[in-house]
This record gives sequence, C-alpha cells and structure tokens, in this order.
Amino acid sequence: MRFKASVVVAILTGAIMLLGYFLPGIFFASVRDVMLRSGMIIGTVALLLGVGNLLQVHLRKIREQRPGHLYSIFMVISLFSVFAVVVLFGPAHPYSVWVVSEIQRPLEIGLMGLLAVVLLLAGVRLLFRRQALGTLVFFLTAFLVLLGTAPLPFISLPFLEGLRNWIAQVPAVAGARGIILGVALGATATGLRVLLGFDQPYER
Amino acid sequence: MDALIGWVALAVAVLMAALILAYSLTRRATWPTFRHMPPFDALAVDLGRSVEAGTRLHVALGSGSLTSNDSAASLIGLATLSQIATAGSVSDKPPLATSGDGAVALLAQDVLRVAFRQQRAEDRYDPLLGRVTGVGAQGYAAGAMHTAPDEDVTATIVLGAVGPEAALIAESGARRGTVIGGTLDVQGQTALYVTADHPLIGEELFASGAYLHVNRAHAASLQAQDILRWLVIASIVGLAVVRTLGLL
Repeated sequence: MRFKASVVVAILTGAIMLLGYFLPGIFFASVRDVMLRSGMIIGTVALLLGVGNLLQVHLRKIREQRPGHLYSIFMVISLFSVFAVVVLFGPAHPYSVWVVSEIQRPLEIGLMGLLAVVLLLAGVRLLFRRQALGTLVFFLTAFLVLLGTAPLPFISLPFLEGLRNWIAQVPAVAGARGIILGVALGATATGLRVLLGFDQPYER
Repeated sequence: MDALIGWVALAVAVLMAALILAYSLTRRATWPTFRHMPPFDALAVDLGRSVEAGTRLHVALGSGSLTSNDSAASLIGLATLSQIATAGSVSDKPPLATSGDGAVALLAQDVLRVAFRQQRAEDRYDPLLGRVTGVGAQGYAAGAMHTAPDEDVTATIVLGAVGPEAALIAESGARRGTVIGGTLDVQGQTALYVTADHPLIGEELFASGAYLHVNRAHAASLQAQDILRWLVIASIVGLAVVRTLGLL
C-alpha cells in the first residue's frame, strides 16, 4: 500500500478520536474536542456551499424554463427572504422563530401526513407486487397493530390491544435489536476500514 | 475506564483484528463468493440499461452529515455512487446524486468528477450532478422526490442516512422505474420495505461495496462482519442458555 500524507493525516485523526473515547485523561479528550469543533465549523461552511448548490440547481431550472420552474422561482424568493430575516434580526428574534414555527414546521408536519398516506397505499400495493410469505406476514402484522391501536366504533376488542402490545414488545423489539446489532457491526467496520487506510474516500 | 467502555474497546479490537486478517487473506486470494442478493443483480441490470438506453440513475444519499452517527451510511452510499458513476458516466444521461448535507454533496461531486476523469469524459462532467435538494430530513425528501420526474430518472437507488421520509423518494422513483433502497434507520428500512422494489434490510446495506467490487477492503470487511455476526449470535444464545440454567 502506497501511503500518502492525506492517508497518514486521516489515520492519525481517526486514531486520536478513538483513543479520546476509550482512554481517560485530558490530552486525548481535549484534542478530540478541538477536532470535533473544527469538523463542525467545516461542516457548516460545507452547508453554506450546499445552499449555494441548491440555488444554482433552481436558477438553472428557471433559466431553462423547465417544467415546474415556477416552484423554483418561489423557492429562490423564499430562500432569500428567510436569509434576509435571519441576517437582519438574528436567529433568536421572534420574526425568525415565527418563520420556523409557523411556516417550516407546519410544512414538515404536512409532509409527514402525506407520508402516512403514501405508506398505506404502498402497503396495499405491496401485496400484489411482491407475493411472498414475508409480505403476507408484514401486511397481517401491520393490519393487527392498526386494529389494536385505532379506536373502533361500537365494539371493544381488548385481546387485540394485548396482541398489539405483544407484537410491539416481543417480536418487533427482537427484530429491531437484531437489525441494530448487524448495523452496528457494519458501521464499525466501515469506520475501521477508513481508520486503517484500507478505504480512502478522501483520496482519489 | 468503566466496564461498558472496556467491552466496546474489546469489540472494536476484535473487529479490527478480524478486518486486518480478512484483508490480508483476501489480497492474496481471488474475489470471494457471496450469497445471491437480488437487489445487487437489479442494480447491475439498471446500470446496464442506463448506459445502453441513455437513461438516468438517481442515487439518493440521504440527509445525514459526515459528523453524525449515521455517517457510515453516507460513506457506503458514496462508495456505491463511485461504482455507479464509473459505469454510468459514458451514458447520455450520467447518474445524479442528491444529498441533504453540504459536505456529502461535495464528496458526491468529487466522486462523480473522478469517475468522468477515469472514463476520459471530463468535458461532460457537470458539478450539478451532485446536488443538495434541501436541508434537513423533510427538506431533503421534499426536494429529492422531484428528482425522478424532473430529471427523467428510470432507476432510484436510496443508499444513505434516511428515515421514514425515504418512502416519499422511493414512491416518486417507483412511478418512473425501479427502486433499490437501504438505510441504517429501522423506521426507514420499514418504509423502504414497503415502497422499494428491492429493499436492503439491516446490514445488507454494508454489503454493497463488496457486491459491486468497490475494492478488496469491502470484501474483507463483509467477511469479518459475517464471522463476528456468528460470534455475537453464539454469545447471545450461550448467555441465554446459561441464564436459563441459573448459572449466571
């Protein structure tokens, strides 16, 4: 393996971060904090570049008069308006807070509402699209959990509530823990691959 | 060092040793054979179709940042993008990557630029092929769900840090073609199980590098994970038996 300066820097940085987590003492912890803060500052600058990129995409769409370019015009106006409000009044000013609480938050909640409908329709379509035992188990489980959760008119089915609780607390938790264990192994292996210099996403 | 950190340190050390061992063995041997996984077969088909028919692939990298806990998913998404971009850069409509994080978008642009350079097609490289569609989980999803209709996408690959909002991107992609999806988030996996044609469940996401032949480290990593997964399963079953017998 041909080592380059960037690989050495990446390995050393990763090693210090890892040692700062495992070893007690001021040295590693303080170096780790400085690196984390630097990383966050760089991340914030990258976010600004990302917003610039977003603006470029929409300006191109407007310039080329692509379908839906009216939404892009609205997006660009919104971007500059919100930016102006926050820069002029500060992020904690009631105007800035109002933009988040009265415009952004309701829109996000609306999108989540849409998500519920999309998932419901996709769930029904799944039965026809992917005919397998897993799909049937998934659909039946979802159906039973919904029946056990929703208030049913005129009838009371206490056993469904019990069944729902059992599904949520036993098989669902067992499955989720299994998935999380596998994911934790994969995530650690991905980090170690970069730390050991086997994988170099920063060096091409 | 308290007991928990000690156990975590031991687990990391064991995984590191397994990774180094698997990597040194893999370097000398031929490419290992892994079990059949339909999502990666579908990805190869979509990639071939994209090059032949001049259609576009959309790689959705999610809204996670590189400094958050789910950075591993973003790195896997970028490694996958690298392989897709290398093959797809010769297409009339090269692959497009979207992200909700500025740093990930910058890395995606770099990955795409290198892929074009490797294919000697630098003049066709467009920096806006790697783009931010919105900031935050919902903002990202709201922007990314318009990518498939706006950019004439025929296959959507959701690989990265996405939550349940992945369903919106997958559903929009499914109207135009195939959807392959994997994420670290359990709720996101459920959403993709329902909406994607080929969902990747659990750690299958981390197998993409090995299946797409990114490099030998990915194959070694997958082998090390497989060995350790069996060790974890044996430990859990063993401890449960010992506990049941009242020995612990």
